[in-house]
Amino acid sequence: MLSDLALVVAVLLACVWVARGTRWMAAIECSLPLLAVAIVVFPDERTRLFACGAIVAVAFAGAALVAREGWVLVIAGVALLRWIPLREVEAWRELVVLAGALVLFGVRASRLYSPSVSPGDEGGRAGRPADAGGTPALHLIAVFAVAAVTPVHPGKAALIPLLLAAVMMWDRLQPVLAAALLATVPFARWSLVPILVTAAFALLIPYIGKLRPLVYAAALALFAMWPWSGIVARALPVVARFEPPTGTVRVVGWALGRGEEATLAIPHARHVIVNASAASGSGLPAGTLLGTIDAGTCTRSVRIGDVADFGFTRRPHFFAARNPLPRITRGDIRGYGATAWLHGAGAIGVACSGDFASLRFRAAATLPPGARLQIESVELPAR
Amino acid sequence: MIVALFAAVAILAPLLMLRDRALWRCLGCEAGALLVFGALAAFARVLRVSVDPYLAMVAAGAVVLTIVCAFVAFADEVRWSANRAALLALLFYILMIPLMLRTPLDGDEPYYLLIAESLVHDRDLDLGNQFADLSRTASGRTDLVPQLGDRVTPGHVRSHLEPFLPMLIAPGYAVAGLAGALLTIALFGALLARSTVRLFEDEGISDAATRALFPLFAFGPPIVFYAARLWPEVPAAFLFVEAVRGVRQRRVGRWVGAALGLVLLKVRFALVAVPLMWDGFSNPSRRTGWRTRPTWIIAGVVLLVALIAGTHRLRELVPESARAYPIGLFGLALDGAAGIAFQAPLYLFGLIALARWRSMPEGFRLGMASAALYILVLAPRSEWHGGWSPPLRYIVFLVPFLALGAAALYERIAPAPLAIVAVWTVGLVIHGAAYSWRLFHIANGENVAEEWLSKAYHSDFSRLFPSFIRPNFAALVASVLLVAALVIFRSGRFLRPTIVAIAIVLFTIAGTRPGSRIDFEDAHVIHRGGELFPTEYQVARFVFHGGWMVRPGESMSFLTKAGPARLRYVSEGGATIQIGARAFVLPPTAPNTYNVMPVFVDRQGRVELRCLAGTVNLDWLRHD
Repeated sequence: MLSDLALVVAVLLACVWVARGTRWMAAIECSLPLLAVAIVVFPDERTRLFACGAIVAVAFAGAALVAREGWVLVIAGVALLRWIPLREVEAWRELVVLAGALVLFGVRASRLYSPSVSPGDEGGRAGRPADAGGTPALHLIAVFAVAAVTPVHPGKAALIPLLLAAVMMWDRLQPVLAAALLATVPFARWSLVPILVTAAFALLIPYIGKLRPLVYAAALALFAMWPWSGIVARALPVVARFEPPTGTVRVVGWALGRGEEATLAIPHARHVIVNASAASGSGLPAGTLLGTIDAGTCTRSVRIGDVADFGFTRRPHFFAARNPLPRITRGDIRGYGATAWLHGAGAIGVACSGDFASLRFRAAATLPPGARLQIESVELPAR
Repeated sequence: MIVALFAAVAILAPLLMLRDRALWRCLGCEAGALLVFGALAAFARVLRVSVDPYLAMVAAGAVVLTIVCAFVAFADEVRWSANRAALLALLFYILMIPLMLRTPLDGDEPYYLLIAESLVHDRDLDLGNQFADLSRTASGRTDLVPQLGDRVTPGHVRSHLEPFLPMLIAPGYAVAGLAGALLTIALFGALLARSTVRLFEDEGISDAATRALFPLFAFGPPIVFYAARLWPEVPAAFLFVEAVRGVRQRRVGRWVGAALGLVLLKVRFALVAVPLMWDGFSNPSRRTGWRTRPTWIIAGVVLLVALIAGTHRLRELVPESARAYPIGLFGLALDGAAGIAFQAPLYLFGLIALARWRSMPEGFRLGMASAALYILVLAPRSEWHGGWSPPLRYIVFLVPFLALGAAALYERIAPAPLAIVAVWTVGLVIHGAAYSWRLFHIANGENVAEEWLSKAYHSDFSRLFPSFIRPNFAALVASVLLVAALVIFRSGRFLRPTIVAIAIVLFTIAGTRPGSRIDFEDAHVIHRGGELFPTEYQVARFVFHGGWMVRPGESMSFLTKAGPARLRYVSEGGATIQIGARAFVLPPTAPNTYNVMPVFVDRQGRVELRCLAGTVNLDWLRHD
């Protein structure tokens, strides 16, 4: 979209502006012609967006390292991560998030010392984390991480950055709170995990000065994914759980309601992969039985965790969803920017000791009304 | 092997050039960059981003090594000396060798290797037995035949190429085959880097300017490509720099020896060596004891070698037409496929330095003045662009002095144009290193970027790039801009990257619209059958008028304007074609004689041209 492109150009101009007077300004400004070249040269949309993401991220990183007006970069970065596509921005809620991000940055950047150089208190106890610490670039990274994962549905969730900023007023509380948040992660539902982790990260900024190069590298790589910031915010483990399709893909496209079943004839095989998802099942917790796949000589159950609701990573639905990401996904990414989402279909292997020529899909009788087991496709072994 | 070499260079280069905090920061940045690339690769896999993995690998390597260069250029804690610079260059060139060897040697390279093989195996220069059994050549080129100009008698072939380069690479070849031969050239590249740094020092260029421009010179085109391939250009550049330094330092042994080597490498360099000798002998400030009889004897030998050993004739020095001079001169500077502006933009500053002649270092003036006759002879020749070779072949030997001019201007140049040049240079290196075969391009007026865009948009982008091989309007505009820049350039601060970005956007919009002239062999034309004329590998293809040959049933489509136009073609038996909805009978022409015929295009937009009868070679369609 042209309006989104204009926003990206505005972000780059902001980067140039904050770097003015430094010798890096011209180098950062070179991102503009590079962006133009990337847009012109790459006909494939994903490749184009990927290249744009990398170019803008490098320019932004350069600006973050030399910027004096960090707040400008906060606005630019939050806009980049949350306002694309512009046509789907919910202005008031986003403004609340932006205000929260600015306050969070203000709280962080207003502290002068880092724990490693703490002058110590009156009692001579050196090394106490007397302040927020870190560097402006680290603060920016923390703010962007929090802003990126903050949901705006429900609306009150938009206050998370503000809440975090308030908590940061108590320096001594930060490591304890961070530890508590991290301890909660294994028990929390998936949609809360990104919030808990990024909040803990923001609280731990004063203590990770030694890991700065690693944090910078990770942040740069994640920031480069702004054209799919929704995926980074809500479905980042897809990188580890992605496996490309194998064999011949046959599209099925069935949706089975409670207790319904259907049979699919396939060429003789001992092993196939079924791509399935749920519909209206985002509220189901991990482990919930969705149905079974009967191959004649063997049966495979389909549960939340193997698959997920097809659209549970969409922005309006994610916070309320109780599904985890599927264990193995084919990485069907839809949309772009903050509204990008990962289709919840998971890949389920069906392997029997003998050949089979049909698959009988049966939706569980315990499915809630309205919920469906969706059979998206079947991957047959390559012959 | 490439990855292992890259890792070695990435670690050794900072250790060689940096110290203390800069060293650790550089290594940290390299590691960080690799982490980022690793993460991006993982994302790209999920997103199914369609990028050539080899290109991505080369790009990642280039970016990491750019970090090292940036530290060398700008860090405070640098171990800087000419020798270290040479070692750094050698590391990079060694890394470039396997990248260049992704495809077999091309152009004159396999022939130089063949001569070296003859020297090593047969102790002679007769290539007859080499051509008889090409399966033994290390280049892997079994399709070689004697070149135009070779002396061929039954059972014997004597190459027209000078044997000095093969003599230089023969020891390397004897030790390690093709890799050894290429390493020899890389060694000359390192020597060139060292000599250039010393030249800069001699001419009073500051360390800061030298360090800032050194990576662009040594690791930028054209040096980086020629330093890893079998061409005489890099050894010639080294010898030329040494010759000029020798003259400047009044070290007769150095400059006469270097000039002799220069002429032995390529006889055409006599046009450089002779003025240099003239300067050495005639400049009163240098008339010292070295003007002795042995010196005259050696200089005479240089001229004698030039006259006897060369296959060139004195009549080649007579220009064919006055028009050829501006085409060649501006082409060397601005041509999209073979000019400095697009293929090695750093040296644009060297051209600007030419316009500030009096304030330039004496070494620059001596070098450029010595090369003036050579350039004047080169410019009007039809092969001014270098023929089938990596770009800028004929002026590679001159780039150390163009770099010296750029270095002399360095303090005055604004950061923005330097940044643009640096980014463009990195892009060129990545492209050339990843797709080494694309360094060779037929001289048809297009370049790789134009072809890419034209194919992607099926629209004529070639007309937007200045071409002096096939002169176009953009060439005229670019020439005027260059002249203006030479006159008014102060710091280039108005050349902002933002302006370049806007220009790119405007050019793209313009490029997607139909042009006034369609060259049928161009990449934007969608060909359905037919063939390129002459074929891509036709020797000296640039002396032919090009075209696309079609027969009945074959067709092509292209974006064009509506209205009357003229069509240029050759068809010995005549032909009938259809353009849009109208048919035209093309009268027969004499063999190889082009005819221009009025036609009418009935609509604007994509139009199909179909051959209905006969065989016709279609050159261009031009609207008046």
